[in-house]
Amino acid sequence: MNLFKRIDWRLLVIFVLVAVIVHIVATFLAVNDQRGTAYARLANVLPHNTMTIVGPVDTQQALLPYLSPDARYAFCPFDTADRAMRVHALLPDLGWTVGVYAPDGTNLYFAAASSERETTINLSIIPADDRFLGLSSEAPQTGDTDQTIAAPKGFIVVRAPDRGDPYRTETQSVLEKASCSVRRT
Amino acid sequence: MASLELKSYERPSALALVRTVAAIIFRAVSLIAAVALATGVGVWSSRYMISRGSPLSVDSYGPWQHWRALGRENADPYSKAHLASTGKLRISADSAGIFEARTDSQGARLHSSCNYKIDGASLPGLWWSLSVFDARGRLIRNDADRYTFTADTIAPNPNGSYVVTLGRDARPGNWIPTGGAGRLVLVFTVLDPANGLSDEQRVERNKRLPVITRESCS
Repeated sequence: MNLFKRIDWRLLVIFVLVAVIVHIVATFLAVNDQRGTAYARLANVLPHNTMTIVGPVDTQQALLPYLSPDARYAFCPFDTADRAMRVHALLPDLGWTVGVYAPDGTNLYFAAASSERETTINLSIIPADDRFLGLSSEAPQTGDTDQTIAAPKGFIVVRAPDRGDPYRTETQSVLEKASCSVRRT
Repeated sequence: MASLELKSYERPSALALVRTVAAIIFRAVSLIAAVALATGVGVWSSRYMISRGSPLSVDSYGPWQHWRALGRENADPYSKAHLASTGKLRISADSAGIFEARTDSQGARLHSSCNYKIDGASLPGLWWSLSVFDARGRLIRNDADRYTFTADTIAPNPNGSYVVTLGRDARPGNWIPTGGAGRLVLVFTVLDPANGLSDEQRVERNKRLPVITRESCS
């Protein structure tokens, strides 16, 4: 009882209020600090609007932290300022994926290969939201598709699982067929 | 005739004055200390919840942590800040399960001075990978150039389960060298099939995550 009397309740309330306000401000500052995002790191070292196959992930070559060495990657940082992008990728087997990411890391589109058949992805990325023709990350992810998404900036990732030395040439040749190119609107 | 008593003004004693000033200073210092401490607590708790997660944004399955909204458009601020500050490339939780472990299944920190055995159950029809990083997300340099095992490269047991060992010294089987790395982070990725997973299938997948057992430490 004596302890309760000695507590300065006004100070305690000030402490809690300041801690909560600082916590919220610090969290939203971190959300809006885009300097260290995957997009910022990739856009600094890779050409824009071109699909680039990067070398195997190893101790010397890791473009991003925690980038899994279980795959070979092709990246395409894009900017659809006044034109549309055309993306093409083949997903021949289980483990192959293609994803489109916003600069903040939000997954705008994702497709994974089926174990039953080769999947061909044909995708258009357009700049304006009002031309959005419908597709979300929760949309069906199968089939040979010709789809459109809206994104002013971001990056495309084609991921080919590393199945070991005997398959590397084959993996490389399929990965080389992936492309992203500007399409005049 | 009524008498009027007038009290003469007494000057406060020097001691009382000192006490008053000391009380004001004490209150001011208390307020400044409380604000400074609260600022520290606010920043620290924000950073911790962004880097390590909390039940608000992370599901835990034994030692494995799963950011449930990472990569989603409607992700919570902690998940968004986690991606922005770490620079990770993560497939949306709608399309894959990505699990990170910083401790073994008994709760002790993973460290390169120890040997670990990782027992995994078979995941039929799902492509998975298990990779090891140091605490800053870098691969661990080793002469064998071995950093990961996948559903394609693992040598499984006859029943489809598998065992991966982590340690400094070479071992037969699915061994990943971890010598000299300090604290370790394991990342287990399971891709959803092309037609997606139902909620029940996700629950079943999450029950079959690998068990991490510490064997010995040097």
